[in-house]
Amino acid sequence: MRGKVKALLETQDLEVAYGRIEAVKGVSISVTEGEVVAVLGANGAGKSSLLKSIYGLVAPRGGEVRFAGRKLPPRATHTRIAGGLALVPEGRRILVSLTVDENLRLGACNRGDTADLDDDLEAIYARFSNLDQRRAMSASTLSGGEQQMLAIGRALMARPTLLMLDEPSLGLSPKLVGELFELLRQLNDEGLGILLVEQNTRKALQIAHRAYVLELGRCVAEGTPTQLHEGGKIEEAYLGQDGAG
Amino acid sequence: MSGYLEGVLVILLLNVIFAYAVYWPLAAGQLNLGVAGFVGVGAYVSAYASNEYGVSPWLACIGAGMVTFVLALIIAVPVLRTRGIYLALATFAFGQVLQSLFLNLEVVGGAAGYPVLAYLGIGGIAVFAFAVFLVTAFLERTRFGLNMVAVHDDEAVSDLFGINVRRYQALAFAIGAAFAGLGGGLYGHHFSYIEPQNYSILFSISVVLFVLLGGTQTVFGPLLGAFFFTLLPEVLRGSEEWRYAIFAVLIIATMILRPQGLVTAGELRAVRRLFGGGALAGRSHG
Repeated sequence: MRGKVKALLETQDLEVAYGRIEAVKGVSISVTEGEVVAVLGANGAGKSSLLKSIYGLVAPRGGEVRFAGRKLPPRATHTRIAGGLALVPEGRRILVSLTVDENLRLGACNRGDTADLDDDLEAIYARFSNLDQRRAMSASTLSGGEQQMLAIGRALMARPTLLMLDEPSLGLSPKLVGELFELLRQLNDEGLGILLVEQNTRKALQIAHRAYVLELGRCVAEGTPTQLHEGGKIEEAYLGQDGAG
Repeated sequence: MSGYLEGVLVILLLNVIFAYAVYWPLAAGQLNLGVAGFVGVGAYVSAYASNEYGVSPWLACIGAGMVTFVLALIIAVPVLRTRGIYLALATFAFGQVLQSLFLNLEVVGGAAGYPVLAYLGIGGIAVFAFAVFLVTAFLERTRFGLNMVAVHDDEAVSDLFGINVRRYQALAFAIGAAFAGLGGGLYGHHFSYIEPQNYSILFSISVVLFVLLGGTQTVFGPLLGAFFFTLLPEVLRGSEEWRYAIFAVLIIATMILRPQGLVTAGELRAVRRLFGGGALAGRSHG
């Protein structure tokens, strides 16, 4: 643990419930500035619910979320995006009736400083040359991989300090998954913090500095990739108690 | 200009205004079937203001739009809690309530109707219709318009980017209502007589119909729909009683062949590319 560095994002005993079903049962995680943190776990472990409650898409039933030293109110997404927290949602959620350009601009729709918006837009296009060629085209004409790049570009338009991604590799070919993780590594090299919810454990652990393993709404393990591999915690979480012996 | 031509043109201009009254809520994903109610409120409020207080018809019509704007914001609080077909039903019910209110308001003549003394000619109506089109076209190009499309396409994603979804929906509903109120005021001041029967559900449905026909993806859709819907029956007038049958067939053909409406956003982009070589260059070409 990086004890001395101040946490950028921190959750404390976060609980999320849908009616009587408890999806997250008191999870405390933290991400420091410029860190890549992965949240791993099987289907239904509560990973997405954790992300959604951090972002304010669902109100937590208990616990709190702190970002950049301030407590975030439940259910107010604009406070997240204004504060430097951005989310790339599961399934990309590109707006297909808009052009590539308009989708990107939408990412900045809550930004107060619009003066250098065009510069940021050009920076995104410089990074994603595929998108550059398709600026004025409908986003529906993009391939799955390009749509994922657009979703990430759109989130970057909000100028986040921490980018959260919900299952970004879902539905991508192995080659594109490789490119995606290379991009995330690059973004992190430039100083962006990343909180990654991923089913592709192997890939996620290749870029993560630390990871949390969730199981049925609880955090059952945390540590660096090496620590997790040595302790057999990953296998335990995915295969159940018997897997660990 | 012949009286006949002027009459058709006035109806066309008013239909353009009503089309944008329906277009705004539709652009934010709401089907407003109570537009006739707002048109009625605008007609009665402006007529009463100019008859009783001598307010100029111009001011009375603008004031009517402001009244319906505020009324819609108030109505939006309960109505926009519903979605989809229930929202359509709620606005439908609201329209019916208003129509029966007009029927029973003796101070404006009740069922006997209400004469409007001041007169507004075709020029004034044309100015307002043009203004309504310009305001809509302008707002569509701003961030406001982009956010509106986002709200229409995907509320969850709009929420994700910090767009206040409810605020945009309420504003779209209210801007549409303001245009409806304005159009209602103009109608009354041009035809010099208003009665509750004018503001029935049939009126709401026909406006919704021609907006859907024109297309709800771009600002030109409602304009085209209004032209189509107003002028086609006139063009077909020569064919006597067959004209309604032909009109109905054309509407059905449009629905089958052009389910997204006569103009779509994709085609508009294609045209811009053709003339401008790019979206931004295309914009300056208009």
